[in-house]
Order: sequence, then structure tokens, then C-alpha cells
Amino acid sequence: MSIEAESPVIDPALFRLRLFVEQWVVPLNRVASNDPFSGDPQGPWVLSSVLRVEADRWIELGRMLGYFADEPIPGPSTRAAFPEDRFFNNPYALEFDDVTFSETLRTAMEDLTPARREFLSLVIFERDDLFEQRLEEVRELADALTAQPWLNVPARAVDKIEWSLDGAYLSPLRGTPAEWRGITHDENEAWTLGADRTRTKRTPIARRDAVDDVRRTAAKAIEWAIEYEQTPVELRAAQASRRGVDNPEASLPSWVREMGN
Amino acid sequence: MPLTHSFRELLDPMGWVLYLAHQPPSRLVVFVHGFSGGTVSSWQRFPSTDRAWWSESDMLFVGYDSRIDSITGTSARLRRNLPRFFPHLPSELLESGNALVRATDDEPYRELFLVGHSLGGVILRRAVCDLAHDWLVQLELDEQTPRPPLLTGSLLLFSPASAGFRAAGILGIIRATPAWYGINLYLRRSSAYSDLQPGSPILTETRRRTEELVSSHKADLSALRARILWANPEDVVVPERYDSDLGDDAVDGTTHQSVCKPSSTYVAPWLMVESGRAL
Repeated sequence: MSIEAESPVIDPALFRLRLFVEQWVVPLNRVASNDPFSGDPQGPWVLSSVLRVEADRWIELGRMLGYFADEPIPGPSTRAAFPEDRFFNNPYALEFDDVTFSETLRTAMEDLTPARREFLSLVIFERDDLFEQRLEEVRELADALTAQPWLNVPARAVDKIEWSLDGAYLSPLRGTPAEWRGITHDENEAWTLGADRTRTKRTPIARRDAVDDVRRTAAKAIEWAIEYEQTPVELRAAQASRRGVDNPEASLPSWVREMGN
Repeated sequence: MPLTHSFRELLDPMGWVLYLAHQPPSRLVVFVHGFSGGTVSSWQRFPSTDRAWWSESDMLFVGYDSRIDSITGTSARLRRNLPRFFPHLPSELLESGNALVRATDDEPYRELFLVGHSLGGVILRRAVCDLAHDWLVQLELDEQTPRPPLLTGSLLLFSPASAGFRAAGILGIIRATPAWYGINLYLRRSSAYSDLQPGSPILTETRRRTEELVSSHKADLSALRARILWANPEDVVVPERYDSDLGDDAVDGTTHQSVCKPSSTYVAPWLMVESGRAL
């Protein structure tokens, strides 16, 4: 495709396609074309590969609706070696016209925050040991908050577990090419492309449930902390004692303390 | 309903999203979301309407991290960046790889609308107040200094947090969010959250300065005078307007989160921006 030689043409569908390719497809191609076996962790690479196929699906659907122009997409396609059935339904459950397509595409793009990408990468695509290591960080912090809910968690520590907070929010993208991000299907198995292609022990649904368990622990602790903050100061000690949360031995996990403030 | 706009994510400022009308627009509508909101998703179907007024409007959705950025910092970023888009939109934003979303011309926008929800309302109030102050300082040095184009805008606010959050209001917001406990962790470091406590210095000073500026320069500073639409019941923010505002109204059966989200059965938000009257 040689766009430099063209004269400017008023064509919103072509404008949208070229913009989508420039802002989404090309960056994904860049990551997906890296050597998957030299990287550790591998989740971000696999995630980019799946998102690249998802982008193809958006383009196909958009073309059918006239939202995107019919023009070849530059760059390598990873589709030939990709088990698409594990991730994508066809046809889509949602009935699209070009307006709803525009809305859902925008929602799908806004959904991919850095925290959300990390959540998807860890829960669906990462090796067990790395997933467990990151989940353990969240669990340690939740346990510390359970013991002393008023602990002040440094900002950088919150950033590090953000994947399990905002990132774990499952947005309403059902019936669209982004539905797989909702981790709703058992066949949506962890798909690792590591050198040994070892199967993971837990499916993404089991991993998602494990994250939810830890989140519930943290939620209870923080809910209690909110109550505590609304309690008159003179009554707080008795309240803490009654709830058995005043554990003087408790402190922030070592990985948080090592970060400093 | 025909598709009337195409969206474009901006790289500078990062996180802002521009909805470009397919026909030549006569106005720019700027949206600033509230605490823990999404850049476009907070406004839901605003861009999806066949109302003629909107077909002639470009829409600029301002993205920022409400859990980290301060009110002062975000409003300063607005003041710095909005002049890059109003009254003249850079023509390169209409093009992608030689494909144009509409004909390029050098016609400036004729109107500006500044629309904020909740915390976004405070950010906009702060931005226009500081802009007015800067202009008046410049006028002291050079009385020919023209009024900044941004001060020609209309200010439309949905349940603004200008008088602060209710004591339990923020918990209402975060408990309605799936990851509310995560947000609570962020709150502990959020300067915007501290700024939104009733009686905070930034809220009281923004109100005082705005009312004084409007009182002394009513003809030139109408952009500081808001029209407001409140949710009813409004259980998140204190529903109190400034003395200098142009007026307010409330919509029964809406919540703090839903008051700014139009749909086929709730057209008040579109009407509010178009005419300043929702009902």
C-alpha cells in the first residue's frame, strides 16, 4: 500500500481504517512480531498476538457494515497459526449497525488500560509460576489490610497491584470481537507459547476466580477500614479490639516495604 | 440513524479523544468526566444521535487520571491545551494517510461549549476562572489584550462537585463500582479527593474568585456563569450552585452517575448542552 502517492480524498471509512491501522494494528504488529521465546514473561507477547487477531475481526466486521473501507492491511498476519475458535465467536451475538459498531469499538479501545492489559496477560496467557507470584503479592497485601485495615499503602504498591483492582473489571463487551476479554468460556483455555509449551495447571476461569477470592478479602478489610474511619476516635480502640483486627505484629508485606515510599 | 462522526484518539494530549463531524462543524463541545470516570464512556451515547445540532458539532473528550491528577493540575492542562483546538482545529487532525474525514477549510468554530460532570465540573470552573484572572492581569499591562477565545464559551455542568462531596457520597460512587475497594486504596493518595471535601481551600477559593470576577466583569466573563443540571436524588455531591451562575434544574429519577448519560428515552443531556435547558 502506497499512500504517499495518493491525493487527499474525502472518505470517512478510509480515514477510520487508516487511523485504526496506524494507532492499533501497527503497534500490535510491532510487539507480536518479536521473538516470543526470548521474552520472559511471555504474556504481553501472546496478548498482543490475540489483540492483533481481534483487530482483524473488528476490521472484517467494520467492512461488512461500511464503517471501514476495503483496503489491504499492512504487516504480517498471525492468524494462520492461531487457534481462533478458543477466543472468538462468529457470528457475533450483538446486532450491529455502523453507529453501535462505533460505540462498541470505542468501548473496547477504552477498556484496554495498562492495568487491564496486565490483568489479561497474567490471567489468560502467563505461566503458572509468574501468575502465582503476582497473585501472592496481592494476597499478602490483602492479608496485611485484614490485620490492620488502616495501613497506609504506598502509591507505588497500589500501582503494582492495579491489575487486580481496576484491571480485573470485566467490561460489557459481550457479543463483540472483544468478548474473550470477559473470560467467560471454558474453552478459552490458557494458551501459552513458551518454549516448552507446557500446559498451565489452572484455566483462566480458575485464575480469575482466584483473583476474585483475594479481592474479596481485601474488600472486607477496606470496608471495615471505612467503618473505622467513621467511628469517633475514642471508640476506635474498642472497635478494633472487638473485631480482633488490631494485630500489632502485622505490617506491610516485604515487597511493599522494599519499595520505600 | 446515520453515522455522523468518526473518532480519533489524540497522542498529544495523550488520552484525549476527538469526535469529528462528517460535515463542516460550527462548534466545538468539550467534555470533562468526573471522579473515576472514563474519557468517553462516562458520557455514553452523546456522540450517537441524529439531532441536527450535534451533526454540526465536533466533540472533544478530555481524558485524565482522576485518581492521581489534582484539580489544579488538570485545569492548567486544559487551559494550556484547549487553545490548540479552539477556535481553529489543526487541519492535520482531519486526515489519516491522505484520507480526509471531511473537507478541510480554515473556518474557525463559531461556538464553544464546556461540559463537565461532577469533578469535571470543578475542573472546568477552575480553568475558566484562572483563565479570566490571567487575562485581567494582562489587561493591566496592555489594555488592548484581546479576550481569550476560551472565554467566549458556554459552561454546562451536570451535578458538579463545586460545593464538595457529601460525607458518604464518595462511598456511594466507589461502592457502585466493581473495583470499589481498589478505588478506595487510590483515594488514600488522591489529591482530587481531598480537594473535594466541602469547605476545602480549592473549592472555597474557586467560588469566591468566580463570583468576584463575574460581579466586576459580567459582560466579558459570561463563560464563568454555569447552567447546571442536577440529578434527583443527588446523593453524591452537595447540590449547591454559585450566586453568579445562570440557573439550575434537576431531573427526577436520575442518579449522580446517570444524569449526564443520554439515551433514546432520556434526551435531557442533549437538550441541556444544545439550549441550556433540559426540560
